[in-house]
Amino acid sequence: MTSRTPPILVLEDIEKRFGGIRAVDGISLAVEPGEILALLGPNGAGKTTLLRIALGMLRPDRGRVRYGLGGVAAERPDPTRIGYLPEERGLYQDVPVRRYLAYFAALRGMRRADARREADRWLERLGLADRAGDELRDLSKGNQQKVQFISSIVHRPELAILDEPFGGLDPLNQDLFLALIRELRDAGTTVVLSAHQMQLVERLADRVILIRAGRTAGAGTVEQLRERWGAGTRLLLRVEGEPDLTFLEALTGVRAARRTGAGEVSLEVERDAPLSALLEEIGRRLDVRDLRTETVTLHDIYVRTVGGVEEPAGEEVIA
Amino acid sequence: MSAWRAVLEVARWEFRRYIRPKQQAVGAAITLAMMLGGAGIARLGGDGGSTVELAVIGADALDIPAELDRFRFERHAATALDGLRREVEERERDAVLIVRGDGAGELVVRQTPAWSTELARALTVLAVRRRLEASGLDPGRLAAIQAPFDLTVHEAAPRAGRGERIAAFIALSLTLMGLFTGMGYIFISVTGEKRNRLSEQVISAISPQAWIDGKIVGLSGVSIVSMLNLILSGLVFLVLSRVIWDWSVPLPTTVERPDLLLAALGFAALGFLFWFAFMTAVAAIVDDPHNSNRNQLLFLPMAAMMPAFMAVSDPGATWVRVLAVLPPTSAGVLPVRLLVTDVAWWEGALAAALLLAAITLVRRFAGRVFRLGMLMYGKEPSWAEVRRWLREAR
Repeated sequence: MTSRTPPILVLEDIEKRFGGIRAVDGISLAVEPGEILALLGPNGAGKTTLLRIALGMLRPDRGRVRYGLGGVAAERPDPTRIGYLPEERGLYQDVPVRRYLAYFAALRGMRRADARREADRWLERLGLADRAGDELRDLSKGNQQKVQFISSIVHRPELAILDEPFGGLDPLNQDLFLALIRELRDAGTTVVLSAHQMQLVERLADRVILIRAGRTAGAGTVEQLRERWGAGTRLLLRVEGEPDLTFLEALTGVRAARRTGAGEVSLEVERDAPLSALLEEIGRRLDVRDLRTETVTLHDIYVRTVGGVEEPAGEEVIA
Repeated sequence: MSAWRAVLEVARWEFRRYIRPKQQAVGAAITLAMMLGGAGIARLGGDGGSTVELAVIGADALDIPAELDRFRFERHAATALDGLRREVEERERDAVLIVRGDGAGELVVRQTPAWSTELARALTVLAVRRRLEASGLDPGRLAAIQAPFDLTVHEAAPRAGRGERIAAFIALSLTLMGLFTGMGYIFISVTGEKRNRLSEQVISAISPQAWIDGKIVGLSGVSIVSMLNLILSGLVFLVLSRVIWDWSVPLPTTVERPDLLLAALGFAALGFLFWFAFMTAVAAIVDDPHNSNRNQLLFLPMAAMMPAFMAVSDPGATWVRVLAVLPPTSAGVLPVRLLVTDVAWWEGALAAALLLAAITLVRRFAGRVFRLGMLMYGKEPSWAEVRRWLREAR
């Protein structure tokens, strides 16, 4: 008989209203230990509210939150085992870097000496060891972002909740943060994050939950989502003259066709479509000058899933 | 992590953020320099009730003694007048008095001093005595005429001694200064954290109540250090002014009652807790401190402290006794009563109980407002929303 490790976080049928606005409307999810779970959705979809409920900062109007941190079932979060990087994040500008990190580690229950040691380790890891005594205002924006990230995980949490961890980062730092999050997962930390950078999430997340207007619009691994949407290959064609979209959409195996530019068209082809026959048919009717193939990305799935939905006008109250 | 540890971590953090030894030392030095400078200017500008030395020509006309009240007279011959005038002009001498008979005289000074009226009054007494003596009355009759009226005063509500009143004013001023210093720091700290988007990071780690409590403890510490710094500067000033100008300040009898001093200090500290909790809640619902009209709430504590200043002169009045028991005015009025008059034990106990209850209440309300106010970015909650937060327990 095998014993399954219980989820580290379970949200059941969560609902949260702000005045007349339903920010979260019946979302349920379970986070397994050691996974990276990404919440995707447009601004105002309810991701941040859901994360705050998961952190115990907000109480849901309906539903239940359960934790399995440290292997112990609990109804309340243990902040010493959780790390949080908020979307709206700041720094105490007039404080030296090491003291800042040690403070947040201490607030998360770490002993001061351990906190200083761990802060130094992370600063060394991110190339900031020589800036440990500098005030935060003297650091570049990129370095400040690194310090913010460290402050959320310096106490070695079991569960890291990262709200928009890639927001405002340049491509180099995006890659760095991606590597750091993987490192965290490899060291045993479970990660729940929200993001808008689909290509990063596609590379990083074990599982994805698409949220639209406070509800789950899709969930699973990226591969499962692809299969669920029946998305196979995308053909990008450049042809002489203007392509006839009606003709293209009528072809066997083509799910959708859309013009992407002058003489350019994108075809979404079903996974098991007869490609050679399809190309032959196209070649007979159109003068094809260029042909490329692409796999349908998470971005495509996201746009199709949540696109076109008007974002709810969220109250400015974060709470 | 226990709530206590969270409170202590926050308190330590706030204290270290705002107390920097170098800045404190510089502040103390500046305060001391300002006190000495101010006292020096006051001494140059006014007489300050100290001894006045005058050169006098024609002293025999009034039979002027060497000392009269606070005036000291140095007799000179009329031939010395020109030299004495020069000395006054060249600031080597304060004044020269020229007596012309028993009815008139001249005072040579650089500018009219504040004590000239006092001098004229003292000289008038001498002149009247001189004229009475010249009238030929017998000494017994003269003594009867000059005998002062013996007025015995029975006070129903005796005023506190000068020392007590000075002590009460100093204590009140220090309390007010500590209160506003602390509230200023709380305001800066809380609105700064909101503007710098730090609230969520902290609230995800510890409870808002622990955060508030830690702030109050830490920033009370900052206020107390600022007050101690000021007291230290004041003490050094007293020592230096005694050495330089031979000044002395009457000590209040309260100095002999450390229990009363401690009770007064304890009450002032409770007042800090009350107003600091209030201020954290106010700061949490301010979005932009430069443009918020809620800054006016800062004046509420001042309004509550004002009766304490009035209570110094009449500590036994009924309204003073009532305000000394009721919070939040008790935080200022009761320490004053303790320092200047006798206070029944039950009054102190009742005031302490009521103030503690008020602190518990305001701390609880502040926690609710703070929790939601700190997470509200970009706009200020309406008063209706604040009322709703207060009604809704988490």
